[in-house]
Amino acid sequence: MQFFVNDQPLSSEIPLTLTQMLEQINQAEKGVALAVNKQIVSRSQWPQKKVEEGDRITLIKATAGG
Amino acid sequence: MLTIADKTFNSRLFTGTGKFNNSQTMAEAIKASESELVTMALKRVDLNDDQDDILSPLIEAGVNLLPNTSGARDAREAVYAAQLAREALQTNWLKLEIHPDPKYLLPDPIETLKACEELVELGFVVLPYVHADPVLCKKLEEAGAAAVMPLGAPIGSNLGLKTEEFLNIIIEQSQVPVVVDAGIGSPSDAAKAMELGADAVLVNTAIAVSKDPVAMGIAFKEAVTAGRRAYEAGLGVRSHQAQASSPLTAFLEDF
Repeated sequence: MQFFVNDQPLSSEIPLTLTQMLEQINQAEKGVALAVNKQIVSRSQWPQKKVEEGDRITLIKATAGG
Repeated sequence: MLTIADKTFNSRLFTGTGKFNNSQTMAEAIKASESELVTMALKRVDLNDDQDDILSPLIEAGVNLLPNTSGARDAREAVYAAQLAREALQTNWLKLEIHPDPKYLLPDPIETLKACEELVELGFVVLPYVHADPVLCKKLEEAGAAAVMPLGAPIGSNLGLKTEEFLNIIIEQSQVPVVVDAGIGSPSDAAKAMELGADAVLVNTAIAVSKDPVAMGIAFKEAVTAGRRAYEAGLGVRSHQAQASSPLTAFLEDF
């Protein structure tokens, strides 16, 4: 299965939930938000929501700003 | 005490987290300033290179977070950014900023009002960053903004309160707190804004780019406290002629 995180192609041999996907890319859950194909997925759904073939995932985090 | 929506603040100094040399200095400066509300931005995570963790020191410092929608060029993008911010930081507080032009970063009033209406419907506590436009500030208040944040001068310019006369009108008319944001370049600018009757000020660049951001954080804290105290005490009336402070008695006339 191939999918994209912030336009970078990634692949997985096994099905992944969003929580597992974050683990796979070593991304802590704190302070981040996810949208799949531009639909925001709330944190409570990450353990159930499966990554699908071709999904375009946006991964956002808090950063410094005024 | 300052109350905005459901929160009360002892400090009337809000701070930003941008432009500091490192997150340790940022956290120390914010702690020293005693600011209780701190802005943050959002960015796309770079999967190849992302060591930047500024969130942990802020959570440790116990401050309230105010995510912004910087980067949004219109209402549609701002609403999307707001929803991502709510997910990322688990807060419905939002600094709404929409500035399509990167040269002056001046806020788009039409898109800001439109986004404010939508975001209030979606349950956000909206603090819109706007030009010092009294009519717009009233419209935002009617749309349900929790506060208004008119600018003193362009973001990061350190030019001070170029909009002073209009800030006066906004402060006089507003039923929601007025937070003077952007352009405040020195503690005296912050004190001035507070003397005018602003409920709070938001300062980022002036603290972050100082040679000693921790000391500057303290200087701003003191200026905001002094300005507020002066406002509450009531400033004297201005006059173009002298008004004697000492008795002009004629005791020297015989000399």
